[in-house]
Amino acid sequence: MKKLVVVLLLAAGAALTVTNSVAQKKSPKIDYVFPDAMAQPVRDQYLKLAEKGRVLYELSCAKCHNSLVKGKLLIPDFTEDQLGAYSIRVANPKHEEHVSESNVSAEELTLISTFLTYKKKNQPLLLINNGIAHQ
Amino acid sequence: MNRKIILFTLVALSTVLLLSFNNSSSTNAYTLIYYRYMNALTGEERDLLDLVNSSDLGNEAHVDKISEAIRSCRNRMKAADFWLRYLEPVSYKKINGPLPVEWETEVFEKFEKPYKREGAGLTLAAQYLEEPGGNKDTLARLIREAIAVMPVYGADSITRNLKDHHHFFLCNRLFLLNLAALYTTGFECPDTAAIIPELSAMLGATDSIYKAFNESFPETPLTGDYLRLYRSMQVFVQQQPRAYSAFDHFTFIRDYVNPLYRISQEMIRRYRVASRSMVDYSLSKTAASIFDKAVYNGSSAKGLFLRVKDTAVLNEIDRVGKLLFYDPILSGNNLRSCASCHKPTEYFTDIQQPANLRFDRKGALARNTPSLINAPFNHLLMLDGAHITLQDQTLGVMTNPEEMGGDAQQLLEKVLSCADYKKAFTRLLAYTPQEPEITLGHITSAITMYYSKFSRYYAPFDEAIDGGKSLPDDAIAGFNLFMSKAQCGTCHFVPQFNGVKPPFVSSEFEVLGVPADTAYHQLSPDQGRYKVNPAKETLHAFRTGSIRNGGHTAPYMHNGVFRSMKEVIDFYDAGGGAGKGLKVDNQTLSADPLHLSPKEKEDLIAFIKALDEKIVFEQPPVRLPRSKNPALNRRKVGGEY
Repeated sequence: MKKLVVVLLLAAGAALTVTNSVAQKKSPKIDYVFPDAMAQPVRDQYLKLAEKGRVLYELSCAKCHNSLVKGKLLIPDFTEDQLGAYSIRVANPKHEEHVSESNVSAEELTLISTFLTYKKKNQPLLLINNGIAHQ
Repeated sequence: MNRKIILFTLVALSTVLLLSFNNSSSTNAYTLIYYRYMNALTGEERDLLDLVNSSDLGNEAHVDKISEAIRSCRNRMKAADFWLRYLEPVSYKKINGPLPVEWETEVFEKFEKPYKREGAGLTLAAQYLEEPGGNKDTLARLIREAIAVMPVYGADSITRNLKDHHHFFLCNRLFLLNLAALYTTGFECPDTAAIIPELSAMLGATDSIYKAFNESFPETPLTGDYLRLYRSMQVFVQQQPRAYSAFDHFTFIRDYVNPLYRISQEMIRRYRVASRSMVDYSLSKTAASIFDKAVYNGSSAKGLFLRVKDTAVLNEIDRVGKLLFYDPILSGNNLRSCASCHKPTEYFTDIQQPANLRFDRKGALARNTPSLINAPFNHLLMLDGAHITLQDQTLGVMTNPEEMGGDAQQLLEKVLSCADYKKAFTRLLAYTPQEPEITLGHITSAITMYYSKFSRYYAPFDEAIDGGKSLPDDAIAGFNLFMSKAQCGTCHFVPQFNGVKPPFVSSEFEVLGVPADTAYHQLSPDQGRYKVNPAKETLHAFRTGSIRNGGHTAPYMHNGVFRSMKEVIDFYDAGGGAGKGLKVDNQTLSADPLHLSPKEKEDLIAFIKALDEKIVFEQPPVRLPRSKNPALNRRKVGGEY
């Protein structure tokens, strides 16, 4: 029970700091993890796509989704289900507007998905559930 | 015997599931009417199945009885259509599929392969019953499949929507769009005598849904204005003739459906309605009218420049896009530009010939050059839907060896050899931070943005049906025919009159049996959609184009075979290629003649001419940017052929 309260406090604290400083904080350097079976030329291509996705993520997603954990800016880890390309558009009421066709194109959504798929996962995982990040 | 056991199990299973419908904890008036309508439909579908099983299709009296039962069951379906179609569109195809097999590529599934959807249900059952020598098992299967999907509408994932007002207003928006585009045209209603009576019954049933909703959700009610107008629409429909060809489709939409849509959009905004469904993907919440060109998003004209909002920057993209549109630097031999075939003086098509010259000038291309005006209102581009974005389509033409014959890498180098282009795109790079360097995507995006601005104009028809301006009687008569007897509106859907129907998430393809020559010696050999998605149903299928500006975009059809609108209408009047005696096994257009009179044909043409948009065209640029490469500076504005 105590643990839960602490977690909730942390989450609330994180949410508060997010609104203040995430936007100003420079994004962390990204490492990518590609499957071993992926050949180098393919890997290079995916890296380019993922980097484009990273920029778009910063523009369209980071403001709500990045969080500060112990002073460190973290990009959360999304599950495969959450990254199901077109369903991102209606994942929640906010997305309906922020991730509409006129704000993020289908191609851009695919790039963002590529970025989040191959970005190295946090240790431990930082998952998003109902808009709240939790480890 | 086995079949019987399966059948029994199915029936038993659906009974159990149906009973569980009623165990819902929230039993407000709105939820009750939902279950009442769903259960009534399932019940009648079951009765219908029993009747089919106990009938003899060789006995005319039995067939009549089945036909009567289908009609009655359809009314139950129409009563629930408000929810059925929106809440689970895939299952709906089993209850009321318009075709036995449909190949779909929906906007949110653009990156997946088209997939096959087999239709079933009442429309197909009614059609099957009309066919001579029908088989009882096939008929029973069409109904059984409809029964089998009914439990979907009792599943938690669907019924949890009923707990708040959001889905209601989105169901209603789709309902209104379908009132304008589908419900009065006979789309999914093979018995034309039943169209208006069904409409009338449906409006009554939906009125009951409205009453229950307002009782259960007093915080977010349908407004008094809306309900008053809706009820006068019911009276209007009751006073109209029962024959859909005599029905006043024009007044119905102008005075009732579209004003209701306007109020509905206001309520959607005021009640902060949020969607959880992909069905709403393309629809705009801000467009007030069905005939507002922003009513849905088709393909993005902005491409890589999606995020640019600044007017000065948009003007700069427009300037560069225009230069590129006229610049033959984008072709392999620097002699051809976009404007060579999509002539800006001819509504961005070529009205001189059925098809333009091939790149090597040896003969003509296989297909007619389509007008670029209103291209952004499609989800799939090209007549075979080969491309999923306008920008891909542009690049596809530039690099097609038969069209502009360019090499992608060289094209980019040639463009950037011009200081004006290089400077402009270098500045614009700041607005596409995801792109580390200038790409062909920047070039194609500037081109699509340029030509797409000519798609934002309206026609006298729009000004009449939306703005209340007057329209000549023959054009109104033509629209009413278009929506009924001439059967045009079942494929060229309101409001764009193209193959994109509400909720505007996919592009439709049709097999018409277009001939290779006007003497109908043979079918056009062009395989159409088959080249992109090979299947029995897609052979010779083409994406349905818009008829807007039809008065200025002759010749017509994918191969430009018809020179006048009169020839096109005669072709449809005869029942397409199959009606003209060509062998077209998979024609989706009915092969039955329409029996249009000469006056009716003239009215149709008057209506199509009322769709000529008041487009403000531009003069070509005076000169093109100079290149570092002197050989390239001999190129002419617009190219040479």
